[in-house]
Amino acid sequence: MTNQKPDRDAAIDRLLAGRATRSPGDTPDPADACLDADTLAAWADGALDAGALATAEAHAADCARCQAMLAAMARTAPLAPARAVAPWWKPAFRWLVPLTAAAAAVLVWTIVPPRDGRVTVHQVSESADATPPPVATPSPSREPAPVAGVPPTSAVTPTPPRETQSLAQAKEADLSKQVSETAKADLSRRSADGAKAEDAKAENDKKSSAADANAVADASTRTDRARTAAENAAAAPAAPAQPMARTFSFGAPETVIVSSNPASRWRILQGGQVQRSADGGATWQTQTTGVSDTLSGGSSPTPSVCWLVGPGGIVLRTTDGRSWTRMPFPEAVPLISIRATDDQTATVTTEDGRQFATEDGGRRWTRVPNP
Amino acid sequence: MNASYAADLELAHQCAAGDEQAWERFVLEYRPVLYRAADALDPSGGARDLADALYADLYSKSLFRYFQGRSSLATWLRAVLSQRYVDRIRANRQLEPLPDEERAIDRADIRHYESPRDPIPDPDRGRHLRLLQDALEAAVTTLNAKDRLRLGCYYAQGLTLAETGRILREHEATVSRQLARTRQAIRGDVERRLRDESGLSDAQISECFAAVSEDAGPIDLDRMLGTPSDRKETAPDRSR
Repeated sequence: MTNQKPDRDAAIDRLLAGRATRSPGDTPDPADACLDADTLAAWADGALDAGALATAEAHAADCARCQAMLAAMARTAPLAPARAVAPWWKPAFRWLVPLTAAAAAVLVWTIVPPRDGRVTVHQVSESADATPPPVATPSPSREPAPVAGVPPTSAVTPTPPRETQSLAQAKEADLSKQVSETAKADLSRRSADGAKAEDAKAENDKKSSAADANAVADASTRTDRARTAAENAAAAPAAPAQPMARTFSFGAPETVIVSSNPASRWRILQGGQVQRSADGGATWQTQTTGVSDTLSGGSSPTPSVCWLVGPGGIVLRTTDGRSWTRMPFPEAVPLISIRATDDQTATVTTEDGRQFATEDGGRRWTRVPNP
Repeated sequence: MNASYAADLELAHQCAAGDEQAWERFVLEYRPVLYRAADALDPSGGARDLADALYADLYSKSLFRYFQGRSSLATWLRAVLSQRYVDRIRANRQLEPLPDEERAIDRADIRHYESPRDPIPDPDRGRHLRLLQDALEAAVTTLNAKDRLRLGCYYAQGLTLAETGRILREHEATVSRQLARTRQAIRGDVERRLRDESGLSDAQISECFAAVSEDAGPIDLDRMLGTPSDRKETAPDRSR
């Protein structure tokens, strides 16, 4: 009998798997209400108390839907903290990491030109080579001018200065909590004011944080917040105020419209010029829009669809990612933002706060009543 | 409330109140979170539309008011997205029979079961499978909720040991041990039920297990039981 146990355990294993194939949970969903998103999230964050957790577990144990939601949550969870075995060289050369980071920071520092100077993209790219490779995610920053309507399907962001990007990329590679927290601290601090002294201090903070981050790179933690903050580290300098953008500014900041696929993006330059990148901003191709006024905003709900707006009721649309068509707009008023959900549906906001919507690709616009 | 969640809650309140700067900050900070989650759910990009729709709802329907700050905003967004993703999948499966109907079909099919692989039908095999199945169901029902949930995560949802452990706050080695323990407990309970309740002898119990084990390939209960086979057939090695 004893030697049959492994076989029988294997049979049980196969039966359980077969049981699962017939119907997840194999029982109807329990009569009590399923876990709501708030409870699921609290569960995932370990914020449920013992009683609530037991109740949630009891429900989920017999509820196929909640099990599936938990599984989805598990699959979308940020990567667990890396606990890799330290390489052989780590103990002996650990001191090299902060030193290298500090050297890199000094290098970046030394190439920062005077405030009113300009550095070519090529020069900056060379400096960026000293940092880890860029990630294929937008490096958002803040629009200097207030934006009344931010598209839900695309971020409208001015391009962060390259040096700032380099730091952000280094931080992204390090994925250190320290960096994230510093970035968030910067973000909130910048919400308060944008004094130049503050900028300089924050800049130094960022550099020292980068060094610290390298020092703890092997113990970095990939959390949502860490990744998010790291991705937005470049946003911190420019956050709602502009001073940091001035600090690192190598020219007028251009507005970047990132599509639903970050690889595809447009940037608005002066004088109605538009450029598109299909490789996440590595290379840009100039496109003809037919307008000479500087555009003010845009929205790209899909990689090939983009809407742009500008002064004088300018509404431009591309549905193939290459050619632009000016759509009629009922008033020659400055349009400051647009929010599009596809190539047919969009809502623009005028400078005076009114909104107009279209559902036929911009041919007809109707006023959206103010809430 | 966790202090870090309070900041998220404040941001959500500001977004719900129509604060454009807050919304802008939200978009910048959380849009990558949503898209990463969508891509994790469906690497082919099929869940991105859900993420976009969620954005639209957050903006236009003030979905933020449902966020109560019991978790981080990022986790809450993942939860809402997961919920919508699962519901969409379930909606596409609405034609599946109800469990009660399914059981009825199971019984009928088992009674008339003839394995397509066996040229000579074994009249006892279907009965053995049914007895084993009934005993298994009863044994699983008696498990505590955590054990059932662990089984569900691993077998029904196909999660790895690590993912299962993440839900149950257990190390994956613990999950592995607990699954092994549960399987042994189920096996013991099944043997007892077959012996005590079904009145089978040890030899007959062995035949019951053999009905499952003797199958050369992976057991195809779907085919045996006449239910659609669109999911896994046997427990894969998911120790990684």
